[in-house]
Amino acid sequence: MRKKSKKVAVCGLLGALALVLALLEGLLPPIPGLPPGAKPGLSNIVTMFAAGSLGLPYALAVALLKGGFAFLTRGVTPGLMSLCGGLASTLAMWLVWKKTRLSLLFTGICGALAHNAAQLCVALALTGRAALFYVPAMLLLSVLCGLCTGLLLQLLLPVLEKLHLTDF
Amino acid sequence: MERRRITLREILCAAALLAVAIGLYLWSFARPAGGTVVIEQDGKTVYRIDFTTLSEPETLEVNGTVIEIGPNGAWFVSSPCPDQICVKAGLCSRAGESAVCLPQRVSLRITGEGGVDAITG
Repeated sequence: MRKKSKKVAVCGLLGALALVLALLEGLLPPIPGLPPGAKPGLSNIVTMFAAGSLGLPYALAVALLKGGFAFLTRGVTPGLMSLCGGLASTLAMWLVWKKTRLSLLFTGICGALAHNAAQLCVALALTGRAALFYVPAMLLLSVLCGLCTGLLLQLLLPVLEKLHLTDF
Repeated sequence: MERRRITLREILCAAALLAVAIGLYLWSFARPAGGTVVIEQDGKTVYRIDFTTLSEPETLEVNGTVIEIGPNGAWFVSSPCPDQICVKAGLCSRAGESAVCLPQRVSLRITGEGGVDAITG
């Protein structure tokens, strides 16, 4: 029982962290040459860690919380985008981490790719073919940002171990 | 959550993936100048305008968004949406380029072919 309460507590902390990271990302100005609205996906680090240490249901809960927050603060469309992207990337990262022996490097890349693929599908459903224009930039950014988030978590893991946040 | 070493093979695979992505991204810039702007609402084409023959800029209103079309291309002037992603996309002039306003479900994209001057819808 104690184990479970620790899991719930850490899940809550991670949820708060994901919200703060998403909020900070939203403050970034548009970068020339990149599609407007592109974000590094820092909160993917949080869902990646949640999927790896707490398990899939807790990680999906973090993604749901993030989507719900976007829904309340930014509106229906951004909420839907955030929710679909978050759930898809969480599922993808959990699959890669639990079902293969690949490291966090690829877990991050797959998470970012899944996030953007899901959002692209939503955009295609909401508008038309115009959204396809963003595919090349999305692919490049997914690989780059996924690499970075994966490496960041790899570097953070020893610290998180010292804080006893990885043993459940 | 256990620690896993990042293997050389993974780094090489990631580098190859990155190279492909960079190549595709650069290739997407090598597009010819477009001639026609297609404006869609809810996935349906509402305007199709050849902008190369326009003598003066034209302003359209589509579902709350304001789109201006000039001889060089088209862009979102304003939109009632909160993120303004469509406005930040700026001028679209090359074939295949597009700007999308998801909250208003309005998008504009440039296609290569010119000479079509029909307005549908």
